[in-house]
Amino acid sequence: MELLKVENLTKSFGGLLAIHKLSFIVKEGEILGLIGPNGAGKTTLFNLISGALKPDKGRIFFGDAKISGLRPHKICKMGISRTFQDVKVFPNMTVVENIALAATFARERIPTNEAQRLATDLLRFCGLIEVKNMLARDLSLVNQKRLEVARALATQPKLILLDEMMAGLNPTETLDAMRLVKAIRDRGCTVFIVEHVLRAIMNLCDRVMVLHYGEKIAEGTPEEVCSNPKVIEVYLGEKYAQN
Amino acid sequence: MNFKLISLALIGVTLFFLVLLPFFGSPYSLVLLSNIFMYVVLTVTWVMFCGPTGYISLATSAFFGAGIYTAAVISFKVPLLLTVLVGALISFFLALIIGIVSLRLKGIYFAMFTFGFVELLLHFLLWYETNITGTTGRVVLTLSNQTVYYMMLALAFVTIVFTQYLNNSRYGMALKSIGENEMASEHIGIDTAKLKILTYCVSSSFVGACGVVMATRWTYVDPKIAFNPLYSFIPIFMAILGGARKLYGPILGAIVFTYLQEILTTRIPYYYMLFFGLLMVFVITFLPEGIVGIIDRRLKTKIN
Amino acid sequence: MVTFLNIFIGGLLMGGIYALVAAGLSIQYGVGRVLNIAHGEFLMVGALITWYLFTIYGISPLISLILIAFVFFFFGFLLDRSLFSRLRNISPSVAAFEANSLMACFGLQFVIQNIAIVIWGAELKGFSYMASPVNILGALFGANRLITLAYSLGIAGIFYLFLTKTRYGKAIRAASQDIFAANLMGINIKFVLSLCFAFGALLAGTAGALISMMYSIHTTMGMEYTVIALIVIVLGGLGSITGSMLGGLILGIVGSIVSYLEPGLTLVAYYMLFMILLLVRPTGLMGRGS
Repeated sequence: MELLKVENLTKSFGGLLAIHKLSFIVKEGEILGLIGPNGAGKTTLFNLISGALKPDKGRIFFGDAKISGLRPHKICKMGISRTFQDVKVFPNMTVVENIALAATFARERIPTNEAQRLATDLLRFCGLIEVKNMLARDLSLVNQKRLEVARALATQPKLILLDEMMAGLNPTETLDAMRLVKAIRDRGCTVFIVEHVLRAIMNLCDRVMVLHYGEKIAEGTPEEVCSNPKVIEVYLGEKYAQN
Repeated sequence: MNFKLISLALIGVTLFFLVLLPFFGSPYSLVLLSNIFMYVVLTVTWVMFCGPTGYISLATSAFFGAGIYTAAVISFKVPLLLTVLVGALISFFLALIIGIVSLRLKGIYFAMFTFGFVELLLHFLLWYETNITGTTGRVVLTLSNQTVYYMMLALAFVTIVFTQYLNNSRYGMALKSIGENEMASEHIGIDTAKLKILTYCVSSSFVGACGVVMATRWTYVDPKIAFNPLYSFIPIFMAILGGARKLYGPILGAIVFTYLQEILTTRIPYYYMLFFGLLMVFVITFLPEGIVGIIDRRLKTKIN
Repeated sequence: MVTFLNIFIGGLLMGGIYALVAAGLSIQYGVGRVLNIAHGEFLMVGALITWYLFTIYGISPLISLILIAFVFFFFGFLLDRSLFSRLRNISPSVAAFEANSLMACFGLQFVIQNIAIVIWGAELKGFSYMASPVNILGALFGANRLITLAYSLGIAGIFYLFLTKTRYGKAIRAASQDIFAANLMGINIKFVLSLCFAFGALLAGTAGALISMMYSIHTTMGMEYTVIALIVIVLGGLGSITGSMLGGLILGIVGSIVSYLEPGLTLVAYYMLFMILLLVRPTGLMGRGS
C-alpha cells in the first residue's frame, strides 16, 4: 500500500536545481530513510512535501489526494506532520502548551479534554513528563527535539517527516531517539526520516533512498544501498575519504 | 477561584458606577472618560493583533480616520448606529486590503508599508477633496456628551471583552505561536494567513467604529485632522507605557496617558508634546515592560 | 523637446536633493538598524540654524554647512552612545531592537520638533542664496540646485571611497552584512555603530543647510523629509549609499513627470511607488536578495 507518491518533482532556486525529476513512493507502515551529502536537497524535499515550498513541476499524492501546491496547514490536517532541522519550538510557551496547541488545531473541533488527554499521553511517550510546565526555550537541545516530535505527533499524522532529529545528540540520546522512532512506527504512523547518523539509518529503516544534487541515485534495503558502488562513490566515499 | 470572583466583582462594581455616572458626574468627567475610552479602544485593539504576533502596524490612524470620515460624509443622512456600522465595515475592508497584500512582509517592512498606507490615503483624499469635490473640510453631526459617553463606554467594554475572550481561546494561543515561529505554526495546522488577516480586520473595525463616535466631538474635520499619523503611534506608546503582556497593561497605559494629556495641555500647553517625547524615550529606554512590569516585580518581591 | 529636457533635468536635480536627504537614513538603518523616523527633524534643525545664522549674522550657508557637519556629527555620536546603545543592550533580538528604536525615534521626533518650535516658532521662513539662474541646454535652473547636486554626488563619492578603501569603512560594510561576524573579526562594533549614526546625523544636517537655500522652511517640515527619505531608501535598498543615490534620482524623475501631468498627485504617486516596491522587491532595486 503506498501512502505517499511523488512524481517527477522538480524545484530550482534561481537557476540552481535543488530537486530534479524525482519520483518515489512511501509505503504505509514503513520507515523510509533519506540520506545524501549536504546540499543534496533533503530538506528541500521535506519542504515540498509539507507545503512550505511549491514545486516547479511534478505532483505529490497522499493516498488518493493530490497535495502538491496546497498550503502547509491543509497538508498537516490531511495527516502529514514534520519536525525541523533547526529546532522550531515555540520558545515562550510551556511544553504542554506547545503540544496542546498542535492537538487543537490539526483536527477540526477536538474537545478540550480529549486534547489534554492526547497531550499527556504524548508527554509520557516522548519522555517529557518531568519538564511539562517548563518554557520550551529553557529545555536542553535533546528535549527540544523530543518536543518537536511530540508536537508533530499531536497533529495525529499518518506520515511524519523527521528532519535530522539526532544531529547534535550524544550516543545515549541517539539510542533513545532511535527507540522513539521505532515506537512511532509501532503506533501506526509511517516514518520518513532524514538523518546524517548512518548507524541510525541502517538500524531503523526498512528502505533507504539516496539523493545527490537533487537526483535519486539509489533506493533499496540498507544493505543494498550500502553496497551500491555509486553510493559509495558520492556519499560514503566522500565521507570516509575525509576521515 | 477566589481571585477570579473578586476581580469579577470589582469589574461589576466599576461597570455599575460607570453606567450611572452621567446621573451625578460633571460634564467634564464625561468628556474625560470618553477620551479614556477612546484611547482604551485604540490601544487594546492594537495589542490584540500586534501584541502576540509581533507585527508592528502603523495603520491605526487609517482605520480611525476612515471612521471619522465616514461620520463626516453620512452622519447627517442616516441613523447614528448605522453610521457606526458603516465606519466599522469600511475599516474592516481597509484592513482586509492591507492584510491580503502585505501581511507576508516581515518586521520593519510591514511597519513601513502600513505607515505608507496612511499617508497614501491621506494625500489621495486631500487631492480628491480639493480637485474633485471642491471641499476643504466637512461638518460632522454633534452629539450630546452623554450619548458619546455611553457609546464609547459600550465600545470600550465590547473591545475588552472580545480581546479577553480571544486571548483565552485557542486562537489567542495560535496568534502567539505566529509571533514565536510562524513557519512552525503553519505546519501544525494553523491557517496563519487567515487568522492574521481576520484578527487584523476585526481589531480594525473596532477602531473604525470608535472614529465615527469620536468624530462628533470635532464638529469640523478635514483629511489632515482625520488621518493624523499621531493616532498610529500613540496607541503603541500607551501599550508600551502600560506593558503589553497583560490585558490590563494597555488599559492602564491609556488611562495614565489621557490623564497626563489632560493635565499637561492645560498647565503647559506649549511644552506638552515635548514632555511626551521625553516620556516616550524614557519609558522605552528604562521601563521596557511598562507599568505592568513594575507591578509584577513588586508582587514577586512581596511573595519572596 | 525643451519641455522634456526641463522635466528630465529638473528631475535629476530634485533627485540629487532626495538622494542627499535619504543617504543619512540609509546608513542609520542599513548598518545600525535604527529606522530613524526623526531623521527629518535633524534636517529641519540644520535648515533653521542655517537660516538663523544667515539672517541674523549674515553668515554664508556654505560656512554654516561645515559648522553643522561637525556639530551634528558630535551630537549623533553622543545620541547613539547614550540612547541606542542602551536599547541594543536591553533588546532580546534585532527585531525587538528595530521596534524599540523606532518608537524611541518617534519620541525623539517630538522632542526635537517642539524644542525647535519653542525657539523659532511655527511660521514659514526662507531666504534666497545663490538663486541666480544657470542655463543648461536651454532650460534654466538655480545655481543653488546645481551646488546641491554637486554636493550630493561629492558626498556619495567620498563615502564610496571611505567604505571601500579605509579600515573603518570596511568595518562598516562588514557590520552591515552581519553584526556578529563583524564582532568576531575584532572590530569594535559599538564604535562603528555610533559612527554610522553620527554620519547619518551629519548628512541630515548638511542636507537641511542646502535645502534652506532653495525652499521655504518651517519647524514642522521634518516628517515630509523623513517620508521622502524612507521612500528613497526602500527604492534603492536599505543600507546602500549608491542605492539611495539611484533611488533619489528615480524618485526625482518620477516626481518631475507626475507633477508635470497632475501636480496634486505627486505625493500620491510617491506613496504608490513606495508601497508597490515594498511588496515586489522589499530589498530595494540595488539591495541584496532576501
